[in-house]
Amino acid sequence: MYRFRPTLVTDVPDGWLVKESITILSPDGQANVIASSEPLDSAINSAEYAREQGELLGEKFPGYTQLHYAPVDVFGGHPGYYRSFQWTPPDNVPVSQFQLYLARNSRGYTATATTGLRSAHIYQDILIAILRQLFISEEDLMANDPSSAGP
Amino acid sequence: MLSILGAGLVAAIVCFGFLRSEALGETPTGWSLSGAVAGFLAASAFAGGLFRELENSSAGVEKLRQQYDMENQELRRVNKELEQKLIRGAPKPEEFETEVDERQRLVLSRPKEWEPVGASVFAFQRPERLLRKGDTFPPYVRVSYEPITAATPDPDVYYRELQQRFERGLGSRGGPYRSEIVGIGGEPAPIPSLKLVARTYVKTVLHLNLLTGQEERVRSIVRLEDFEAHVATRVNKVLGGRVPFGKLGWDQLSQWQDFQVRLRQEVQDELESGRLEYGDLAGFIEERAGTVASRTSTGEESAPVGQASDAAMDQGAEAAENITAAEEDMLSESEEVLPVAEMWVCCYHRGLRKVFFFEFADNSTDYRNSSAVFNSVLQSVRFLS
Repeated sequence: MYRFRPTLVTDVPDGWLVKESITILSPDGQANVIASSEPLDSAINSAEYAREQGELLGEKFPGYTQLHYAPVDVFGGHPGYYRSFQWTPPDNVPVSQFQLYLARNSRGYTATATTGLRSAHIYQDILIAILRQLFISEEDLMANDPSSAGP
Repeated sequence: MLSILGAGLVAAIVCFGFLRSEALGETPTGWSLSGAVAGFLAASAFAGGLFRELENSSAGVEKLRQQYDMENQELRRVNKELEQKLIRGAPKPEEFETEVDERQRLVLSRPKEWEPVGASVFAFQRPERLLRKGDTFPPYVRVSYEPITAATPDPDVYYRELQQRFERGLGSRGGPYRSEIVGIGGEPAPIPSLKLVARTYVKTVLHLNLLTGQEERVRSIVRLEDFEAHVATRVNKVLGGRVPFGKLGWDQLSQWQDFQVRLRQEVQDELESGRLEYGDLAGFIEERAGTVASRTSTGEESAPVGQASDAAMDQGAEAAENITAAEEDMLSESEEVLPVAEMWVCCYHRGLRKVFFFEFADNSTDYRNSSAVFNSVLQSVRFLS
């Protein structure tokens, strides 16, 4: 494994919102990980964030079955949540997904590892290893804080 | 006749000797008879009459039987004529040939230039109602043939090529296998035939036959990987929702994964060795996982819903869209994948211009017993050449 760091940098007009995302794809297309962050109401903590996401999943995903849901240290040692579940997209095979959730510094962090349900035993270990290695760069986090930006 | 006279004598002795009966009679010629002699003659005359009646009666039966046989023969002849008329009268378009299957009592026409390509001869299986509890794989016997044509090589070459195909085809789909030459057809001239026995993995899919309305199991040989994936799915399904996962987090998750891997291997070994029936799989996994606590939610139950976005849902949907379906992803709940022992016997019959294939299969658990049945079937084969 090697470490990948996002390389895109840009200026953001005042008041605009920024979402960021990275996607990691297996060569055969049978597994992937998407990690993203987005602006979040500062009143929301990780537990609320994780539970609300779970409720949406249950409402919107056909055949949704939650398997595991538990507090765990995520994104480099921050107290967050882990959820694993299965569902069947309308036009594809049943999938198995793992998600991590964290609310921190008015941003919501989510990571999703996905594989076909029948391939889960093949990719489970590598997907969890990828999720464990996801972390938030404190340096970049501070640099991206609008309140810390200069005039 | 002697027995009739004897019976008359006995009747006379009993009636006139012991019972003191009296009798008087006169013959047509005017001779007078009395006592036992009269009784003897009367009893003999009666018995003789009875005998003649019986004789006439059995002659009648014989006559009736002969008549019945003649009529029966006539009916058969008429039936045969009608059958021939039916065959001749069956629609046969130009450039078509009539085919008759005496055993199935079926007639049809086929395009003249079309050639026979072989067919199923027999197919039997043990009814599911007679299977032991937990046994989901009924043993079966199938016999088919393909015609020997000008392109068909001699038996030695044919068998060698078949064995090579078998080795290539089996590859990752099972094994190890063994082969031997056996005699089929009984004495005095059994036909040398190639017998192959191997472990395979078979996927069975429950399928609704729209024509008959019956549910049928469609079988296909799959790879070892398919079997492993199937076991993993079955294990995951039973263990889903159980998680020994708390504040310690990732380390416990690793332990949980190790447990799942060990359990999958154990289930595979049990099925392979025949110690576990496929139908008992769920119970076996449940038993092994029995000590693992069920725990699916540890969140704060009363926290208010905030204004979080639907990032998880978007991500989940996007990620799922990117997934390429692996072949094994398409397996569904109506499917089973299990280790099966199969026996194939290929019999090259020059005289009948046919190569016969005998195929037997049963799951690993039952193969030891059913192989004896299979061998009995093989030994019973005779060719009506």
